[in-house]
Amino acid sequence: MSTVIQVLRGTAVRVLPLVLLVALWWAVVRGFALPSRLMPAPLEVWDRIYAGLVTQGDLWPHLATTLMTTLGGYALGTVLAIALGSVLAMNRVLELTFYPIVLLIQSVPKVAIAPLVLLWMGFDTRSTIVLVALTCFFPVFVGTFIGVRAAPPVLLDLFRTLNASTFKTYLHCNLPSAAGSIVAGMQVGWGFALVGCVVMEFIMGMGGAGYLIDNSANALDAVTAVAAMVLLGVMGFAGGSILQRARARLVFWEGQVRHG
Amino acid sequence: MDIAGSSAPAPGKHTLLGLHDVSVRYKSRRGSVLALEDFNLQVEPSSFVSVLGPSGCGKSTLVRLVAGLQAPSTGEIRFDGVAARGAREDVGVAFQQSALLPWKTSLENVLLPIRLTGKSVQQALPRAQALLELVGLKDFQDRYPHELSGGMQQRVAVARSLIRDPSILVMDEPFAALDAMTRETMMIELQRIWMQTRPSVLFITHSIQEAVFLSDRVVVMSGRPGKVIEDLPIDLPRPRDVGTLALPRFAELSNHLRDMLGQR
Amino acid sequence: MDNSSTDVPVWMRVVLPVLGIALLLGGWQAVAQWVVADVALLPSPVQVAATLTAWISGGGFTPHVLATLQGTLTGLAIGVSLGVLAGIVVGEVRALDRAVYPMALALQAMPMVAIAPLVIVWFGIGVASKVALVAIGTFFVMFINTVAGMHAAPPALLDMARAFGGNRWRIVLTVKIRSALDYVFSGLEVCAALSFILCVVGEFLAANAGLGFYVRAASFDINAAGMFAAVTVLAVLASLLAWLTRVAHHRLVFWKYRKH
Repeated sequence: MSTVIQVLRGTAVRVLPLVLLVALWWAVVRGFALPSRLMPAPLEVWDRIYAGLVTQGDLWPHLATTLMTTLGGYALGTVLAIALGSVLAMNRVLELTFYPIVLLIQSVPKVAIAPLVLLWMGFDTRSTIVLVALTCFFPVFVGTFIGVRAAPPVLLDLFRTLNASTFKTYLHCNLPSAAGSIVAGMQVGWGFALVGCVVMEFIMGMGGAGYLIDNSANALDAVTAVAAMVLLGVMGFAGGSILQRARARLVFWEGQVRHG
Repeated sequence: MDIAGSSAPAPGKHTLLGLHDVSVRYKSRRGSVLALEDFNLQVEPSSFVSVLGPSGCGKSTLVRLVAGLQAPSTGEIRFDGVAARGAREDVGVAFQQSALLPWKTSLENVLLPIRLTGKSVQQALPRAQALLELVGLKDFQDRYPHELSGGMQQRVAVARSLIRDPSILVMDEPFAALDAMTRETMMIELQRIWMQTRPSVLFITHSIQEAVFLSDRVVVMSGRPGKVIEDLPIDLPRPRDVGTLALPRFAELSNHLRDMLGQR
Repeated sequence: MDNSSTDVPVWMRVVLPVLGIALLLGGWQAVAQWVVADVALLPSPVQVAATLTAWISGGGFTPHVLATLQGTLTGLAIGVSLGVLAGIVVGEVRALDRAVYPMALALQAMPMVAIAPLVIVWFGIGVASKVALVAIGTFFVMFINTVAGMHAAPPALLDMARAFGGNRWRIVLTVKIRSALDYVFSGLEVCAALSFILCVVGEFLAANAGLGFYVRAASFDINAAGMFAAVTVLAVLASLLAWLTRVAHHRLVFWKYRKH
């Protein structure tokens, strides 16, 4: 019986802030008598979401576009970041040579080059994928670099006594011990990825949640705009949760109590 | 009664490991540091040699030398008369921290050396299981290190160091991180395990009790720079057990060592 | 004592980074000159430098830089001060803390840039929407960081402060704020980057001046050299702000960052 109560409490704790948020939202809209074209009420947005996803389904294509392009760019950026981060972390000479370049490129706010990417890659999803990859690259890179570097020295000694090659040491020692740090970087990267996608969709104007928000806002259809924002929030949250779970499973030995 | 031993093994005995006039110099921010100076040591097959010394006398450097993690600045290390280069397959190492991979089970950890050298893990499986049973962890094969106590983790580390059937095992204060009671248990256990597998052992410790209980010989090192100041044979009968600790000879040898280390 | 055999001689630490940057510039020059050979698409480093100097000396540069700086810094000032203030108040009042803080955390999942079109509907085209966007984004980050920082005050210190009696409210507050400084400045470093991102996005969508506006306009003219020049200036400004906040952080939270 107590476990049921625990589960209920756990869910309540997580759901309550959202409930309060919606309540606050409703109160503000009501209290200041905000017109629907500026800030819609929660119920209106809910109806719009329901219609957009269930009844009419006109929001699906945009959601799908955003989700697919973000995932595509995210996968690309993550793979490149892990690869580069690993190489630079394992080889000091390469690190000294190329890390400054990474820092230099990082100093440029990625959203600023969105029009440039658009110019180069044209008005299709490739541009979005590239910008997303660029945007989410750095946090994953840093997470990888720090994690691979942080392999416990005694384990590295162990691998040396076993005459393991650099690659084998990386694969069996550095990489597993870096897993937690890498996924932590990926969690930050997911947020950045969505930013990159939305910005590109703003200026490309061809579809996706970003396009939806921009287009509806300009048409003074704030309901759809807010609906799209909510759905984006859900995407952000879902990605973050999945990664959080993955991290807990990958680093299963941390924070555990010993028996025996 | 003169109980000080000779500083070299009797002639005619085959030497498995030999350190000849080995010096190790480190460069640090404050200049260079001489960790070991003109260090000489011989170890025969199947013999248990402890190395006792004060903190900072270069014991860890010695471990790194024999494990192949470091090259001497001068002098030579020879295995079976042949000059050594780097890490060797016939040397097993047990570190102070058990150095187990936290994401692998005990069994997988014991099999790690096999996996890394590309040999057949399937073939080595029975040996790995037998070793885990030998160290008393038969039912803990599938447990992860975080599920084991410190003493159990060290046992897994010992099993791992034996998987390739090394002719010499280097152990760097393996029980230092354990509490006193576990240390004593592990000491007795190690004696039992060694009697069954009989590699040569180079056992670094700063516990006189461990040195006397476990070894055939105890080598005493000076403070930095480390040199051998005594090579004491331990003539206690084997197999040794808790009863050995109570023998008067045990106390005699311990006291002698204590004197040598300036602790009395 | 491990004599690090993995570290490199001192001269390498100077030469290799220089080599890396040289490789980057050289490679860029080569690709721009011989592979693409079209200044409208990919200007070489030399061409970018020339455009930049012409821009600066011609004075065309100043209004855009000022517009972006104005938007960024004003928004930053408003958002940070309000965010920290709100954070202190909420962190101090238990009831508010439990109600409001989780709400804010729940909102974090949504990318802040997504609200840009709506903000522009509210505030119109021009400076006001830029400032509002930056202010809202930075407010949010600073609020969450401040509250988290106040939570992080070591209980032992708080107990001690309370034990001194007297004006409990003031002493406890001082302890909490001091402990929160590290979090506050971390948040500030995030805001340094975030403010430029939000300002640029605001300028993409609805502005008459500013570096982001310039980049967008230049993309319509297929003037890649101009885009590169503007992006370079943005990178310099963003780096400067990031560096300043970092220095301030380490200076003011010196107890964490002093090397011994």
